[in-house]
Amino acid sequence: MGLTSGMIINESGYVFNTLTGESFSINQTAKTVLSLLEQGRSKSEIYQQLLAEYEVDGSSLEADLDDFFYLLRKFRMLEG
Amino acid sequence: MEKKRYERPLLKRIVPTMPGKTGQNTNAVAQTEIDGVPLEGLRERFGSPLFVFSESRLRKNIREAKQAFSTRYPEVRFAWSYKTNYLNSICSLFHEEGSWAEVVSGFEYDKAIENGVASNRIIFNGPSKSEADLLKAMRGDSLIHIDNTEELRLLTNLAVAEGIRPRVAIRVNLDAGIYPAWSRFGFNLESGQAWDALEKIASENRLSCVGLHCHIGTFIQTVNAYRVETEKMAALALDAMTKLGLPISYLDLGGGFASKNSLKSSYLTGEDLCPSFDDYAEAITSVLRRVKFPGDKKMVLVFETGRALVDNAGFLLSSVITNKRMADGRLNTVIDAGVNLLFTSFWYNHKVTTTYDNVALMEPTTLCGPLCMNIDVIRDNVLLPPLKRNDLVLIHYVGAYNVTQWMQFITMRPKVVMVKENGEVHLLRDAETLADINRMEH
Ligand SMILES: Cc1ncc(COP(=O)(O)O)c(C=O)c1O
Repeated sequence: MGLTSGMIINESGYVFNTLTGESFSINQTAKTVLSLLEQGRSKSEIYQQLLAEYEVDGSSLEADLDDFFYLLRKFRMLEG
Repeated sequence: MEKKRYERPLLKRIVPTMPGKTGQNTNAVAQTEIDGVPLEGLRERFGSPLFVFSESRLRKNIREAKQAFSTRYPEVRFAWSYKTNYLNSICSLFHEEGSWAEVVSGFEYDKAIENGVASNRIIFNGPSKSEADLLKAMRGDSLIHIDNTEELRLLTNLAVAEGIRPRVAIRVNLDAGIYPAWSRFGFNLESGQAWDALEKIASENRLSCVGLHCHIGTFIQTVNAYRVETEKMAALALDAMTKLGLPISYLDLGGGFASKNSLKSSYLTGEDLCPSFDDYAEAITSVLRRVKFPGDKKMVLVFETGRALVDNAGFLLSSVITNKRMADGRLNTVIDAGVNLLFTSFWYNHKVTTTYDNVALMEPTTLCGPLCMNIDVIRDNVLLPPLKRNDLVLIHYVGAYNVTQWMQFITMRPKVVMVKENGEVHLLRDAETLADINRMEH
């Protein structure tokens, strides 16, 4: 699993998917997740890292990541 | 190591749209307290959901309303519309500020009496007064506003039987140029029904017709409707006095002033559209100042304003239960307050705030209640910062018609508190319990 090629992510939180022509806004947390995905991390590694870094409980984070990955898949940003 | 502040990861598709005509403020504006009392503390002490009323806003509203009229007209009286909010503490506050009571049922009548209102300061409206209600009201010298011909007949018969001459008004409905015209209540002006009723009262001479009443509708943002109403009512009073010799001494122009809520059908927000008390007062009194009643009699102006005096003083505090993604990609945020507590969410796009501001990215969200029902939607499309479980959500302008029309359905009715001007928080009403519900069953 990883980001599809053709994703352009800029510093200010703008994402362009060259495969579909759609563009998106993301917030800081989403940017962190996408860059970890770019580095080839798995979802559970990302979960562990965010849990360690942020003030959030495990079940909220799990639900939020599930939702975020659902959207990534829906907008065809995930491979595999 | 200090942990970073967390915000749910957000991915929002940019949909190209035409630039809007109005500059809508899409920044999150946080609200963390009511009159200086932190919301978090209110939740800890009283639980969630929770209705919160602001004493200072209530007093400010009624004082502003009175000021707007009394600086323009010598004799103005407000009668608190019980059905708008009949929590005893709220009614009592208005009575303390000098308001009489306006009731529309025997139950509300009794409530007003228990709140210490003198019976001759109760206005009794409504289309369904029973014989017992009428007897009670006439014995108490209350102002009985007659709704229909049968009631007129019943009351006249009771007056004869009791040897009492009740003080009455007739309720009039009229075309004030707004839609919908409320023609269901009272006697119609344009078709001559109202005049017929007044003629009967005059010729039978058993009732003392001291007033005329009209309530043109509710949430009326068109100030001109009141100008038309006042013109027509003043003309009717003049005729009733000069042609029928009726002792008309007051015009009750009802309620209906809008609050700052936003109607679902409206393009602009209520905060932009709502006329001020001064606007209404100017329209009404400028008409009356021109009318000359017999003997230079000054008509007393009566208002039964409800919504505009209480809506912005009520808040519904609630907590996030969860976020849920719908199959079509939209986000549902579920909170612990449902439409059974917030009847007005069927009418209004209630203003909603959270405790977050300076949020760069917000998400279009459907704000749902906790009921297991599709209709349980508080806002169907509202831009909110990313929220998580237990976050506080504050719903604004809920003071009118909710704590009277709320129902116990799937969940029970929560506590109601008031933030006092001195900063104390008083419990106005307890939360319902299973025992309360079961007590009524056999
Ligand atoms: C007879 C009467 N008076 C007063 C009111 C209060 O109206 P509002 O809350 O619009 O001021 C109502 C409510 O519809 C009413 O029916």
